Amino acid sequence: MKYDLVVIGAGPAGMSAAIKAASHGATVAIVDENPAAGGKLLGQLYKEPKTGWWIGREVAKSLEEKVKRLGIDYFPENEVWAIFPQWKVLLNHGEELHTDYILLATGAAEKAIPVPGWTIPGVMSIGAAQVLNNFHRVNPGKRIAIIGIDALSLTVANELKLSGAQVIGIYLPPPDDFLDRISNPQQMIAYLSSLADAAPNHFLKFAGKVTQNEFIQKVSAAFYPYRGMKIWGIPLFLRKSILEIEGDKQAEQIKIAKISRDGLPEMESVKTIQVDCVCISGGLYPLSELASAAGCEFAYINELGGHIPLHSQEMETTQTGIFVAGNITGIEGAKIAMAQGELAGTVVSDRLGLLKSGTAIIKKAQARVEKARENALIKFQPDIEKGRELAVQFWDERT
Amino acid sequence: MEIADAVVIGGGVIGTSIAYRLAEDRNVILIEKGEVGSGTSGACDKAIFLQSKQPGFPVRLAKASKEIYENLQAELEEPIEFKKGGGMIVIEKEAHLDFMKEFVKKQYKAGIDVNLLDRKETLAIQPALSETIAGSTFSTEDAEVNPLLLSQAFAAAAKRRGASIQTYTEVTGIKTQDGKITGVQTNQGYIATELVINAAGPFASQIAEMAGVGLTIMPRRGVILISEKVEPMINGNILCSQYMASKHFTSKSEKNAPSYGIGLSLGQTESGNLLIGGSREFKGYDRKVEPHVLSAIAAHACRIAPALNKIKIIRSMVGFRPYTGDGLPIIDWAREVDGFVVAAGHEGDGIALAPITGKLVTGLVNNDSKSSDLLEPLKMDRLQVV
Amino acid sequence: MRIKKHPILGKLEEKEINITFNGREFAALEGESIAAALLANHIRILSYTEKRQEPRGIYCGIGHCYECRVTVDGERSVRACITTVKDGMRIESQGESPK
Repeated sequence: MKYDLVVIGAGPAGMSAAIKAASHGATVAIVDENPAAGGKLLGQLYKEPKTGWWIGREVAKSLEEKVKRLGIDYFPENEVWAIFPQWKVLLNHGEELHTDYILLATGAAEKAIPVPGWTIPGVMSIGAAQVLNNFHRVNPGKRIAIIGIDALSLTVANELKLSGAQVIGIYLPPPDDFLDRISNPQQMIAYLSSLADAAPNHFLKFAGKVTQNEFIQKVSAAFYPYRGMKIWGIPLFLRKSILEIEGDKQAEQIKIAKISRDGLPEMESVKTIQVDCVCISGGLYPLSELASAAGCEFAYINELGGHIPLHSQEMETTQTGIFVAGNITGIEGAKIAMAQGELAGTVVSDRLGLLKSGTAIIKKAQARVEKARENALIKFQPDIEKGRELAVQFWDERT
Repeated sequence: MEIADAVVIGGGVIGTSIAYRLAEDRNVILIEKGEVGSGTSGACDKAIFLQSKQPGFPVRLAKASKEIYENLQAELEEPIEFKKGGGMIVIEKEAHLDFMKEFVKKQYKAGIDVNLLDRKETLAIQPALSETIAGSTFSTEDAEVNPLLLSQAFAAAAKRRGASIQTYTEVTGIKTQDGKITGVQTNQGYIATELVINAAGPFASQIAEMAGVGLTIMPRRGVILISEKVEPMINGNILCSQYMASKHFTSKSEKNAPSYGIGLSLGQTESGNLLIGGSREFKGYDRKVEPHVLSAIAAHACRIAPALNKIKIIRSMVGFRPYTGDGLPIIDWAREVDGFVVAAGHEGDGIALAPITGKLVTGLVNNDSKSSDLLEPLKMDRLQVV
Repeated sequence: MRIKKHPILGKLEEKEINITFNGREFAALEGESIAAALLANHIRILSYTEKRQEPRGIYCGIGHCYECRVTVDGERSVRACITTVKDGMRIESQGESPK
């Protein structure tokens, strides 16, 4: 089958791009291995300061309806096993999609924190817990501990509590050379207080406010109470970490220890607590295997979450005709992903000769990405701006 | 600068086998541009087939090699997963029956215990095969080995004999003086030596050229699919008669032959992964495999063994088999310069012939008359373009 | 484990269907993943590792980690987290459980 544009990934970026291009008259296909359209949207659920509840699955549903209305060919439960020049997209059920333009909107996956016992059933990534809880409507557990303190884990903790599960605490990962930033109490406090002014929801804002408290700031992490601070009823432990998860057939208990001011566990303080579920939040990284398979050039930009395909301001990679949008370009929120998708969809429409004053329309779409960034209150990566600057710099240096 | 009695170029099954034998009474350095066994020897199947070889000398050579295999694991004191699981050549079409009948007769005469089986007998041994096949030939003499372990084992045993295995080292030049080899230049340094063994497989021509030796060995690309681990479902190793046809004849000799030189080779590793081959194409050193080749290999395999239909492929591997044109390797002194031995061109038989190659090269270098009988048909001159 | 009533998302209204897991019958909701349906029935172990027969369950939830592989109607290595349940589906855990 021949298409003007083949989009890989039916998340916020991919669907937005497909809708944009199809509404300009392009023939578009979307592929996703998940049976449900929406990607990371599926689990999202939080209250925004101005607009009220952001229910990801409903946002996904409305995008999917647009996709269907525009006659876009949607291939759910299909994996891309190969991309060949110039360009063929091969699906595992045998379909072969031919196209001049591909958009890779493959999103992100979660980094693991390999705490001893992390493979026991009942231990799962925070994102898996979020989708189970908010999309499938099954509590991942009744007594849940969370490892890793960040915007996502705090948000999901609140969502779990909202649906009736008990979150017994949010803890630091065990101290480790590789996890310094997220296992160090002092750095965590600095990170959390940075959320105070910019948090997208009340819960995060509150977490930020607690740590912004003058007393805690002044005396630093050393005096943050071991018993933690409750944020809307959920204990946040900035000076305790989970050393191990135990259980024969499934997670049964966690071993926790106090963390000294130098960030080391105090072994005499080790205690055991019963749980039936442990969620691990290690942050996200861009899912870019397909870009690599297609021969795109990469840069490692820590601030954006990992290896990202180099791309122009028009979202095109170093491979002519292959575009990127969403988390594959760096870890940011859904609204930015949607704006990036629309930009990519616009640029492809222009290349196809479907736009009259393309340059101006592209400029506007670029401005909307910037606007979405300005309005983005949640920051998954602490130095995202620096990361974006580096990405532009790498691109410019190359061309 | 280093000094060596012999420098072996290439750390695949052939090079390591040679290094091991030569190291018995020589100071040997083996040069490998990647990791031991990471080239052709790391991208092939594991079968040691006797019955697939052309009757006559090729069978004799393969048998001699197989004999060494019988005690090789004990000799090398390393695991190589050598097993005598038997081998089968599936006859897919009635049209291939006559050809295969004739083949079996000749093989039997050549001393290989091989039998022609009908459909029922075939399915009793390999229930994974299709009900529509015409029959098969089966030999209990066919065996298998883990090629990854094999080159590692040869290398480890060579080291124990004092050989130096230098990986991630590339040959950049070969020095000669007055028609004699004097040394090998690598990107890591210079080695003075009077004896060089070219075991560079598909890159043997380029190495030969560095010494001013003319040699035509072409890379013939083969692709193998690798499945997820599954319960044991294949007994021993399987080839199809189409494989035989594409191995021994050019594709022109048969109408409607599958494209890309496809013929089935199928086996299951100890850990449960299926190795599903394969194609034979001349594509230079291009590692980028077109999707159609992969699909065609899978489709051909599924037709012969429908049980493969629901099994997931986890990756594919690409290997360049060194092709001489007549299905036999070259093991011979170069004419142009003294001290340069070529031991390359085994194409798809490198695994089967690695043990004998080590011995033959040693025999050649030591001027041992016992080897001359097997070395005669492997001389370089036979391929000279007239 | 099911969140029948949610303060924001409201009531669950999906139709009930039947699946089997390792020969036992369980109820599932139309449209949900195999992993979610089994978890709702308190089943966490989906596969066992090959070498040490360690239990494994849902980890990433997006089809990336392959820890939740099950056999569905005879087809091996189906990812429970991104495969939708169907009425009458026969699901089996993959790998050998420890003796």
